[in-house]
Amino acid sequence: MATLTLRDLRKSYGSHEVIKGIDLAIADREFVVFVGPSGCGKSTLLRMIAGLEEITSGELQIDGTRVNQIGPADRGLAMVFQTYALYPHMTVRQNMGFALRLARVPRAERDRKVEEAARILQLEPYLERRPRDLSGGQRQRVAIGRAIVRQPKVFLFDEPLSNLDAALRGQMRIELSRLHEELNATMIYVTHDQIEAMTMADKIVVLQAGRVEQVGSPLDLYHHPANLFVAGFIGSPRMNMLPAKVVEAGALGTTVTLSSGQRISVPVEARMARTGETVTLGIRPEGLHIDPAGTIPATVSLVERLGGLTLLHVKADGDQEMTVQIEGSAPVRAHEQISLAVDAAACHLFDNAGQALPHFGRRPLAA
Amino acid sequence: MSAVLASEAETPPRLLQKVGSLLLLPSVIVLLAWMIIPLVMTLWFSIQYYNLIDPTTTGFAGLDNYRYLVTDPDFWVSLQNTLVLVASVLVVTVGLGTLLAVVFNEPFPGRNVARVLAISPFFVMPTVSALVWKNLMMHPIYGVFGALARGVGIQPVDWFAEYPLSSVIAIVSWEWLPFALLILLTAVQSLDHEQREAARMDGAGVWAQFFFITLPHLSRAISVVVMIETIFLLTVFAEIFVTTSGGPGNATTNLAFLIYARALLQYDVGGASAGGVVAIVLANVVAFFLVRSIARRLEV
Amino acid sequence: MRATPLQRLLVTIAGWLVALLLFFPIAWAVLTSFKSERDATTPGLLFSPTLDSYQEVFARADYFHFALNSIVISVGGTVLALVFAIPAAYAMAFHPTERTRSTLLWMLSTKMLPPVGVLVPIYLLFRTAGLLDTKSGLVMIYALMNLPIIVWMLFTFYKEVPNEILEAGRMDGARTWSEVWFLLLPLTMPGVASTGLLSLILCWNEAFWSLNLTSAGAAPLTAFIASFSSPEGLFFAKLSAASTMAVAPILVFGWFSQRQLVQGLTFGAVK
Repeated sequence: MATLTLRDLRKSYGSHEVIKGIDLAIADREFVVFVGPSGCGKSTLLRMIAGLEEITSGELQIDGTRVNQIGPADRGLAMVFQTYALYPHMTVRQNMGFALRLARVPRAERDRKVEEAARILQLEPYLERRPRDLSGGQRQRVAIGRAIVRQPKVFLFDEPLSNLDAALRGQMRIELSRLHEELNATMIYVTHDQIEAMTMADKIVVLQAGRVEQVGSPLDLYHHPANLFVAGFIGSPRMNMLPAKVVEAGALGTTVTLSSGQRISVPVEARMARTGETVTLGIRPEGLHIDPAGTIPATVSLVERLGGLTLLHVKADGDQEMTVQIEGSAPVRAHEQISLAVDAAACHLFDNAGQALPHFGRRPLAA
Repeated sequence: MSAVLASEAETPPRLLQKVGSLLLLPSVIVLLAWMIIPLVMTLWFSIQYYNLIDPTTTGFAGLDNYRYLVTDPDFWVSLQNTLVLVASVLVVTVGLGTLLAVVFNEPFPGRNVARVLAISPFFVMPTVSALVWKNLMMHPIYGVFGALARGVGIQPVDWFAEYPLSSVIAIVSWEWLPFALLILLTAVQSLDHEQREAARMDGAGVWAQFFFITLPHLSRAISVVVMIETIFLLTVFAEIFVTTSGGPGNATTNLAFLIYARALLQYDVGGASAGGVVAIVLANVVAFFLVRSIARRLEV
Repeated sequence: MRATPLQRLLVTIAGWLVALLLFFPIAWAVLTSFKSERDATTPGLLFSPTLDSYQEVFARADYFHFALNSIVISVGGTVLALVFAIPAAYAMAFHPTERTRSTLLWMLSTKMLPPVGVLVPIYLLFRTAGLLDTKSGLVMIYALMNLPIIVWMLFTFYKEVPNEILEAGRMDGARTWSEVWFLLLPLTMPGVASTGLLSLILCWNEAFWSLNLTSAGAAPLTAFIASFSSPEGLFFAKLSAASTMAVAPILVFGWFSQRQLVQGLTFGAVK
């Protein structure tokens, strides 16, 4: 069993507060991803959990036991560092067996555990090599192996893929997900890459400036972002944000007008938004379609053909820039005039404080 | 604060800092003693009448020792010799050193071996350097220079008799050129070669590159070399001790040798201490600038 | 290659010319050491090599006495300095305080004290303490003189150990002692070795205190060679032999410690 509870966790450096009161519950065997822009505090939070940074106030519990004062070695955690932090003067076998050696585990058992971990990570041919003789991907696996051997309650990953090239990164994402299944352990993973977050997590924690913006499953965050920040951060390419004005708020939804004058009725509760108020309409690129009968005229500025799909960067009237995602084979060209239609049900509305107005119904997969 | 569990608590950083200070303490105490005690004693002696072999010379001297020093023509000669020595060696080592650093920065066949040969003089002990130069190189009869002179039909020069200070300067320059070369070479190598290539694209020839790119980049290293060499060169001793003993007359007596002569040859502790204070003050002036330069680069 | 063939030729010539000229006196001394004393007086290249001079220098029992002094003093000064410097540098690198920076700078500044400025008190103190002409006296002085440089160099080597490796060690369960024994020591051993090498070189070549504080009893090779300065005539080959033996090992050490030299003697002001 390995559950974590964070209660009003705070950290300050001197008078400067970097972690501003985080509450979080992590269940056994969950794959939780901390994601956010640089400087949001995700690595600091991970290190506080690991015991490498002091907790200024608040409580951290592992399996119900308060661990604030317990040293990193005694919390039952293992960490994979961004730079792998392998011991350069030890072989792969010694690197992986170091913790067991410190715990005075007898040699035979130590070897058995190291070889088992090496088998899982396909490191068997490299056991007697030194880190400097290994490639980046191999080093990273050794770092993971070092963690596996300790059979910790929780695995902590600090941006483990950011030092790998793109191709290797994709491969390792899959391997890590597979590892999670095989080891059936709780994992906390820090990254700035929202694609990694979306593809690997059971639960994503979006952080900004030391605060939690939203916690939820990947599709939860994708389809029901709680605020402008999460909406803009999750999803690539970025959601289109259009200024709009409320004209009517009723039981069937909230109607707004765009700067072009077009009216859209979005199935969300009006809540605090009043008629005449400025709100933000968010629509993801796949929520816009080219439709000759469409109500938004636009000029194509740039066409990005990815093969399977095509991204159009367009300028709607009033210099409103938007991104539209369409079929890969659609014959659109730059400087063409097109008409766009909006899928109203896929729209999001955010009030003037940036908070999302809740949808009437939740998307099935995002329950 | 809630109750702490029975598990072992981690050593708080404050305790570790205290342990750190404890580990540091012996070195600090020892260096402090090394600095303060002799310094204070030198100052004290400099205002005393004190002669090691004449027990009648005692008592408080006030500034008399300094007055004797300042009115002693030997003192001013020694000061001049010191400055001439330091300045000349600096010019030769830094000037040649810069040019050589640029040369050794370029790849050429056997460069590593050539470099090893070029830096060797720095590792030869000063007494050996001095004697080898005096007897095997510069000696008018037995030395290589003499033989070469005779070979082209000119009268060999007795360097130490006719140009004593220049001879000492030559020896010291030979010893310290490798130091300047090594340091400046390290600095030149840190120059991003893409910068030089950009200059080439902009049309800069070899000399223009040297003056507009290399030299400004080196200015910091050059100033460091100048300051460090100055501090060490102010107290050149062994080479003089072994070749000329300050002579002929006081032609090669620098401040360091003067102090030595006063202290251990004339046993005038008071006078020698006054000279010592002067040397310390001179060195401190340079040290001030050097420490400032280091401090700017220091990351703790 | 960017240089024209002519430029490359000029550079090759310049580089080799300078290297040979600078090395020449050393090479000449080595050459002379293999001459007989008669041949040594005429600076020629043709001679019949002999080991007579070396034999004569060896025969002087006191050569080994002085060489041993040099060894004992250099090693002693280095070890003593390391004993103080290793914990000090460790403390400054891994448990710094606000004062660490100024302490380090102050230490470096003590190295800038001109030895001749304190010749008088040191001489008198040694005389009173009976330390004149003793190896232990020189060992203490050398340790003090080199302590700032050694601390500084060890400090830079300790800082080069990536902090994440130590953190990984901590996560693996290493307490302070294990951290030092299993991680720090092996990782910094090369640095300590090269620092020690530099210290050996500096001690071996030191020629101020060794000339003034010692005589027949504890004099190292620097002082022994200095005794050749009184004109005795017809001794150049022996001088060369003695010099060669005194200098050769240090020369080799020096070739291996170029980088440490730059770091140590410029106090890191040049990277």
